[in-house]
Amino acid sequence: MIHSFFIFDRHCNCIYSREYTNGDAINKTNDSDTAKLLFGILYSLKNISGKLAHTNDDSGFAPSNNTLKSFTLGTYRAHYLESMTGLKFILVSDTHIDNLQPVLWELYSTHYLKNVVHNGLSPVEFLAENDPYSKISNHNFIVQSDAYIQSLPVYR
Amino acid sequence: MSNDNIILPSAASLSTLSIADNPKSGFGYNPSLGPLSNTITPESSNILLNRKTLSLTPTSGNSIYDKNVNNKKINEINLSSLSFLFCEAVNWTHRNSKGIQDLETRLNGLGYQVGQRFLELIKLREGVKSSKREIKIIDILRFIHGTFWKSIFGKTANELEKSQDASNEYMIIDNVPLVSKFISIPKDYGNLNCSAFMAGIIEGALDSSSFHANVTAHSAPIDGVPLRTVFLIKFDEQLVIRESLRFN
Amino acid sequence: MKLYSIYILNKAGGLIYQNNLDPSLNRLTANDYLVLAGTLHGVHAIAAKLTPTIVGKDSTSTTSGTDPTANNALLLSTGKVQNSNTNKTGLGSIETDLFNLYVFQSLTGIKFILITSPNPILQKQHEQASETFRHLYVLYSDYVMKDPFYSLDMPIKSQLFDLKVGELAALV
Repeated sequence: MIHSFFIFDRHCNCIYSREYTNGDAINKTNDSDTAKLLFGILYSLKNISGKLAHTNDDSGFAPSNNTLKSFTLGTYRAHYLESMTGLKFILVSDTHIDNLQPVLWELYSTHYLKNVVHNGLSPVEFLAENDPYSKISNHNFIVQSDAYIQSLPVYR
Repeated sequence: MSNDNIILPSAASLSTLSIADNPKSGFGYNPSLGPLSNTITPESSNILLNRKTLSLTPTSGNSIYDKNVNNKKINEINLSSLSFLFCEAVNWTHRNSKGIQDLETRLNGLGYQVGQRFLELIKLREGVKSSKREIKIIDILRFIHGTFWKSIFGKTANELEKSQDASNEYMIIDNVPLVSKFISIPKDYGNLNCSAFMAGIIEGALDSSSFHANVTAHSAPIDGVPLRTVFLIKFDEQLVIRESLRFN
Repeated sequence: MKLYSIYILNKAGGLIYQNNLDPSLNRLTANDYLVLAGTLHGVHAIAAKLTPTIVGKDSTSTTSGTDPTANNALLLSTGKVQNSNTNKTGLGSIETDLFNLYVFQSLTGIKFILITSPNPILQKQHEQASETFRHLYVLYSDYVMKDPFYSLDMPIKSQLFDLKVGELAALV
């Protein structure tokens, strides 16, 4: 079962958050604290996974080749994908789902790219909080990504 | 959940702590419940009374205190309880002692009393008919290594050896001494061995049997047996003379 | 599953034991290990705060096992209770390309942290990890808590414990 979907940009701002409840109704929460805490955890864990793993290059410039894939919080598992440009995609599911990397990749490579990046009218640099342009409000993106996530066999 | 308890106490839920092995008798202390877990409720007393087990607390007529002391059946006690008790005994002696040597002497002294008294009990249990008083060094050592050890520690000691250097020195070797099974001596404590307590027990038993001896415990680890301990028994010179006069 | 490292954290988040069994991981400085332990401790606490809200209001967390009387009845009837892992809301595990990390918390607040080789079948790996944690907890209560030379919340220096942990790791 998939619970929610978050996107963070490279300035650590939450630019998209979506919640899927048990019923059909999908509501969008404005609880920015949740996103902040999630980002804090993500940031720390990313650091740890980079630090503990061997780097092939000792120069210190090359980022560690170890990437964080997922982590569990209580009874939930958060799946994580970071693009080369620093965008962070997170899907929160229950612990029975092992791997959502292809789904995250699909969300990034198809839905985000097509509806946000290719859309000239949509900003790709989002502004700070409390600004109307601080979040992805692109109708097509919302509809299509929702439809995609809900069509997954693991959604329920 | 309000915002002020953002850092939860380390145990967020009162879920239970498991006791991995299934206890044959009695109840464990359940830390998630605190003292509550040991209170006698109607249901627990019902189970307690229906179980034909030996209880250490005198709640029923079947407690360990009510048993006849002259009982050949082995009454087992929990190794954990014993370990914690011994742990405290070592701590207490440690606080009072002036040094490592002093600590060993004190532990030895504690064990000495146990040895004296336990010898009495074991002789009583052997019964008047089958029991006899050992008068030879080798016989008393066999008794200590076998019957005595088995009765107090639940197994016989691993080896019994005679020293090659001195005629009055013998060694009993135990691979895992019961009381110091879980004890690891820190490096700055030198060659302290908490089995000095067990050495004291042997010494007490030997002294009570009129074999005056000095018993010390030494760690002698070998591969795979890190706790191997040698109990060096040094008899009085007179004993050797006494034995040679009597049996030669 | 292969064990890379074992850490033990006291209830304040201090690193009291570390054992790097396998050289597959980066070796950090002593200070970095302390920071790592502190970070994990902090993340664990934040995660516990986050879990009820991350999926919205309807998340009725399972309250089974918190009722003392039901609990007591179970203990009385079976003499056996469930898993000793009380890590129900905090950070449970991390999966990365090169290693997996698991967190176990005892009721007394001690955290055991296990770093293992990655395994795509998470469920199975998870079961193995909890089995290892169970053994580790037993070893801790035996060889650390019953040692008169150990003081609570202080670094564990027992060679016996080291030895037994090594044996456990060889078995896994």
